[in-house]
Amino acid sequence: MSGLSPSDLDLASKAPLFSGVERADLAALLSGSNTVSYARQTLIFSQGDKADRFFIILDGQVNLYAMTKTGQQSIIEVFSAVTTFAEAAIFSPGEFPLNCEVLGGTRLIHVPAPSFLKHLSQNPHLAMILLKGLARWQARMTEEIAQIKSRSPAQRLASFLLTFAPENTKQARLRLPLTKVTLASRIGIAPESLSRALARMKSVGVESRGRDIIITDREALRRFLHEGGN
Amino acid sequence: MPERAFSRLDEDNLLELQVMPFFSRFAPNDLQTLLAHSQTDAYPADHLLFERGNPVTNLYVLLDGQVELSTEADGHPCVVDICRQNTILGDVSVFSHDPSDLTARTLLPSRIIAIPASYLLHLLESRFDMQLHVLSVLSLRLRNQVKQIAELKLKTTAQRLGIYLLSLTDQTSGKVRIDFPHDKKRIADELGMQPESLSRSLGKLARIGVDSLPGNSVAIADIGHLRQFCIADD
Repeated sequence: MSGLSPSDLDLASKAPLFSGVERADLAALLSGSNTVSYARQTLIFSQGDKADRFFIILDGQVNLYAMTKTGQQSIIEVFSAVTTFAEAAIFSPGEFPLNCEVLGGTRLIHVPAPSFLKHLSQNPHLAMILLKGLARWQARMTEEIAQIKSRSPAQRLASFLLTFAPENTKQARLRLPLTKVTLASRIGIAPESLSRALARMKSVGVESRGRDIIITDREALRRFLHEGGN
Repeated sequence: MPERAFSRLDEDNLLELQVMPFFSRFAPNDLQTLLAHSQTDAYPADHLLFERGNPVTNLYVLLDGQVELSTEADGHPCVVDICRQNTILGDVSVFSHDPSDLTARTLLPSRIIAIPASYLLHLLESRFDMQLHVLSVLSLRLRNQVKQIAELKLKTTAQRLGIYLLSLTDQTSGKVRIDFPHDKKRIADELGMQPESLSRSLGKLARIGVDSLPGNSVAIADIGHLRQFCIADD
């Protein structure tokens, strides 16, 4: 029997690790699990604690952090819904390598290792499905890394401008809601690069006078974002 | 590939596989069986191992040499990784049963073991101990990728914060001390970041000589250095 409500089970099934797992199998895998809501910021585990469970984040935010020598928190990773975390720890026995806290308003499913692993060991096909889920997840991550790496400053600017031009319109005129220095910092490029990027975008029909920007051909700008970077 | 007798070459390969994390928990006789179904070949440079869009029928083990993994992003070729000795290739497609997102091509002459995917999967299906091990290897690798993405995104948030710091001073070289005009929460809002990103960005900038001081200020060892960091595009 699952200790989870049907709606929490539905949410949990959206975690990338479980893509491809049938609902009945998921219910069995999570049979020993329970949902916990945190009203305020709470420490979930500390570095060196025995890794006897993993977690599914249904709502809110989780910070994994290390402590620096001077006693300050250094945040290593931030997770938001819906994903599993700390699952690596239960596939090979060991200790949690970091500290973990949730922010107020977070809901987590705690998945104890013994019941999860027991069901997994009794259903050999399930581990193969989890492997498939991990592999697909990894393929998506690789894709994302490639995308981030390959975007030029001009493409980052194009992506920003497109959010101001409604879809299904050819032309748009907008007044930048920010100064150019702030805009440059918002999209993570140096002010010098911003002027160059704006100049380059004349060729795709973007004209700028001060803070006024005219997009003459939204489709051309969209093509530039996806094709022309270099 | 049918099973054949265990050779001297297999003996050498066995030793190499045993030191790789992917195979570290495989028992020696399991590895022997795998190797007896596999084939080891020497390839010249520029040999295509597998191609984006096609299924991958082997799990490849790069023993020595160099292999480039590339993909396409927004229609352009993009190198994802350059693999060196003792790397597993093709595992994502082997386990997902999806066509590969990646193209693998040798850059240097390379010695590579090809383990038929069908045999590996068949072996794993009945072996919970090996399944758990491969699950842990893949999930650890995934964690590293998540971290890499965070780092890449952080580079730009750290640059944003750096550019913001540059805007707070007229000085263009040497040592500078800057007091933040607001508390960190408001600065994070202004820069469109989460407070956590701001804290991580400050951590990142610390590595290039921007030290956080008590009382909401920073000491910049060399403002020219910070400027270079902010302009860099990669």
